[in-house]
Amino acid sequence: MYPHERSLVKRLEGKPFALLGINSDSDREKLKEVLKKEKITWRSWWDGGSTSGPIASKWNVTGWPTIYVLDAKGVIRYRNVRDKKLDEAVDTLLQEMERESR
Amino acid sequence: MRRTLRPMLAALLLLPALLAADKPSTPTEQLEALKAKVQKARTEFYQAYEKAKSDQERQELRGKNNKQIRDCARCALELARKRPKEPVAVDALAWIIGGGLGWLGAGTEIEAALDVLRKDYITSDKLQRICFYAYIYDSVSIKPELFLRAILKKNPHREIQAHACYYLGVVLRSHAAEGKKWREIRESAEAKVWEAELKADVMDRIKASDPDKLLKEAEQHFERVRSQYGDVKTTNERTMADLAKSTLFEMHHLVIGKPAPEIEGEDIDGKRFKLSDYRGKVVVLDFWGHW
Repeated sequence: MYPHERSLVKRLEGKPFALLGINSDSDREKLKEVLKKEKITWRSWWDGGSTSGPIASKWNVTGWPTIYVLDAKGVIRYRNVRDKKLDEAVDTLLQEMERESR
Repeated sequence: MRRTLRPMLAALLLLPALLAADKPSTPTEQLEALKAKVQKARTEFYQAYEKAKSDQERQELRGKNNKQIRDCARCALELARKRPKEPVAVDALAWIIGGGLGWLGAGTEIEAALDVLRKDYITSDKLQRICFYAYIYDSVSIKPELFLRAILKKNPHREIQAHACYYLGVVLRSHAAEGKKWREIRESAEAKVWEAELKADVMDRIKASDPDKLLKEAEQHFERVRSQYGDVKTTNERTMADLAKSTLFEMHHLVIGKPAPEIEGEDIDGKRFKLSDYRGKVVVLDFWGHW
């Protein structure tokens, strides 16, 4: 996952785009090392140190990773798209924004 | 000649005794022996699979392992048939379904076990885990839905009813998704893959499904879990009410076309931020963990 996420974030630098994580790891200090080692620059919520943290529970997440793609208005537009499909989803929504702002 | 004949004869006479000593005597021991046999077959399979050099070799190993598992599942089914009304019968049937034998190895036997449980042991107090496994096998078989419906109707144990009610909701919801997807792809090449890989009765279910009606029925089951079985505990210390509430929330709010609910909390460094800070941007939300 990380290499694809890194390239997505890099490719869309300067665009109105954000990758946000909700992290369910149990050890915060170890996670900080992972962020450094894997060059994870995007921001994540710390979900209380377990897979049944408040955010994952509210969003009823039972499998990891789970992905949602939201448009600029905050509306859910795609669920669990990965790899090439994730790139296409994000590009579609960015193009949609450009069209609407014209 | 004479000298060799006697020991041989003795050995021959001893043979049945040796075999008997090797053969487990009680039905429970027989079931345990089957479990051990599957475990051994699986370990040997993994070891051989890792060393296999070609796809053909791997495929042969998979075929051999599936056959070993199927044979054990058949023995367990036979054991249950021979010992009707004894506790070991339900144990054997439950093992076939919940013992991780897998659909490729023991699909036919899993369906048979679900049928026998439904017809002869539906009031048993040992069926809670099977409700979960029914959900696991639901996408490849029509038996799990029949089993869950029968539990809900006839099983007298409240905890088991609660689990059946929840998992019936879950399977109906996935039938709705399945039916919707089928309508999208039925003219495409993917439709042929479905037809080739799924059993005919499962295909019939998909073709006849009414997604909207199924969703509504699923929702009714989750509502029933919340109102009737809310206090029942799940295996990971949540209550059934929490479980049903999260699922209903997901059905109502976490669907395509609905505004994403607010997320507010700390980042890894302890700084607070919220999802709505990013309004005006395309956002990918990634629920992740480094494990």
